[in-house]
Amino acid sequence: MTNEQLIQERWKYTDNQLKLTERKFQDIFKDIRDELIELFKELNLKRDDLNKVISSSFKRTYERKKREWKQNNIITPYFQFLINTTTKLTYSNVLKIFVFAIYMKYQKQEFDECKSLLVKVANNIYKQAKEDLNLKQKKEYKEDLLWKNIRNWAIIQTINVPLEEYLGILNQEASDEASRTIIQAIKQEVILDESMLSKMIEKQKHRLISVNGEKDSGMLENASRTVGNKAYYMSFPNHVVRFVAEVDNHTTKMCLSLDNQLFNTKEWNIFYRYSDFYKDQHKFSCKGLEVGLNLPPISDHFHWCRSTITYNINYNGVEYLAEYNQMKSLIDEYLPDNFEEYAEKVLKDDNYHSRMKNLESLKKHFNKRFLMNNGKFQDKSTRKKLEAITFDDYQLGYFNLRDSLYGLKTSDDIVINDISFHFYDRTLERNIDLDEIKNALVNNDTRQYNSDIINYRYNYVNIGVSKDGNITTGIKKEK
Amino acid sequence: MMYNFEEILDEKEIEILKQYNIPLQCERNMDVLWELLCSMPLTEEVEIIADKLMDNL
Repeated sequence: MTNEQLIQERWKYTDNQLKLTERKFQDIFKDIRDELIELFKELNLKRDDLNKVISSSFKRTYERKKREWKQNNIITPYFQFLINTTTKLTYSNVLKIFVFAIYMKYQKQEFDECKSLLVKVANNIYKQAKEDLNLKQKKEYKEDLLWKNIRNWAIIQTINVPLEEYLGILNQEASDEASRTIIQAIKQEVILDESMLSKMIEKQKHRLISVNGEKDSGMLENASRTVGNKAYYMSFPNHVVRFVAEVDNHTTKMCLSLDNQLFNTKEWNIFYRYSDFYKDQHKFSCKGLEVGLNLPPISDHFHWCRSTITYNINYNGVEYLAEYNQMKSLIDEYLPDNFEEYAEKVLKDDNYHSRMKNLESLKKHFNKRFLMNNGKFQDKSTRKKLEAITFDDYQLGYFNLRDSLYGLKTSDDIVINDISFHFYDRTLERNIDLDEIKNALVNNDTRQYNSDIINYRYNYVNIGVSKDGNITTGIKKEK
Repeated sequence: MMYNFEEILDEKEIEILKQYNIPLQCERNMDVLWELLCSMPLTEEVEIIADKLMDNL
């Protein structure tokens, strides 16, 4: 199964449920809209009334409504606070409370819909996890996840608060917006109708849920992805999971850098990930999986993330995955675009792996030198600075030199099998060319044996070689 | 005229010369200096010393 299929399969049920839930929310918000219009008609306020203190008959209606709200159990702590602090009972202030009451009346219904959606999503993904782990027969795992099991997972990422609280905040904001619109209509002396409210109501619904193919968004989208991914691993002991990103032209750098990385679900993880804050690959560590960091939906920066995790980590070359992800931060332009291609090359060609590892270390070395000498190498024989060298030229020169010297036998049969980066730099700085090196190693007139380094000298060049065949460095006499 | 290495090198580098029994001064002549330098095993530390001494000759 490809990553793309896996994502489709994982979220198929969730996507359907989101669609169904959206329809239910559409009805709820239509009801809210109608109730707002009814309220407007019922109060029948004039522009001049707004700042007047309410009449005694209206006060009685207000007191009766308060009793009704209490009986219907829709008074939340914030609602109580709003009632208590509204001491100046003008028509506009009481109107605000009435509008708030409408939203509160439907909040419970909204919350129940959210709850039932998340429980369904969590159980579907939990079932997928049990199938992936082959746990059909085992009884030690729960049959079904209940709301009490998953309520702590429903955290809304944008402001990091639980679902219940976020729903409250959304409704507060929505009721403020609605009362402003109604007061505006009274001031302008127009009749409030559907068309005036429909745009606002639509927006308010979109903050909660908006299903539109690839452009799904809203609080519930975010909550269901979080709950789904948590349900996938939270009830099981530590396992290794693979991060699966949906790779297309919308994929963010964050998800791309995490794609195919392996994580422990309950133990410590150390990994590299693109961070929008640092604008670079950054090293992170965390215990287990953390929403937003290495558990989808990924944030920093926030986006509507469809990535997921899977227990299916077995595919060719998976042991090279961590190093591939690390290499990507250094030598991205020399690596294949995706890990599968890289793994294939490594498995087919023995030299490819060591060459890439070498290239990675060379880049580290180059960066160090580049920063120290401002990208320039000094030609010591002419005392002039060489022109700035690009990494592409630098690495080509290195591999040319390495390939030419590999396997060369020195005059006393030591086979050259490595050259240090330092030695390569020396050849650039001191302008020692390949013939001079070969002459020194093969046609030398003087050799000096020390405990671990042999000096090979030919005329004005002296090269040091360790006994295991690594060229350490070289010096050149100035003519 | 003699070439005094102690004026060019720091204490650590002098220690390395002493370790290989290299005299701390020699004639101001590239050939003489070259012979002295080549009698030490060529490691990165030695190479830095060689560079310094050749550059300042």
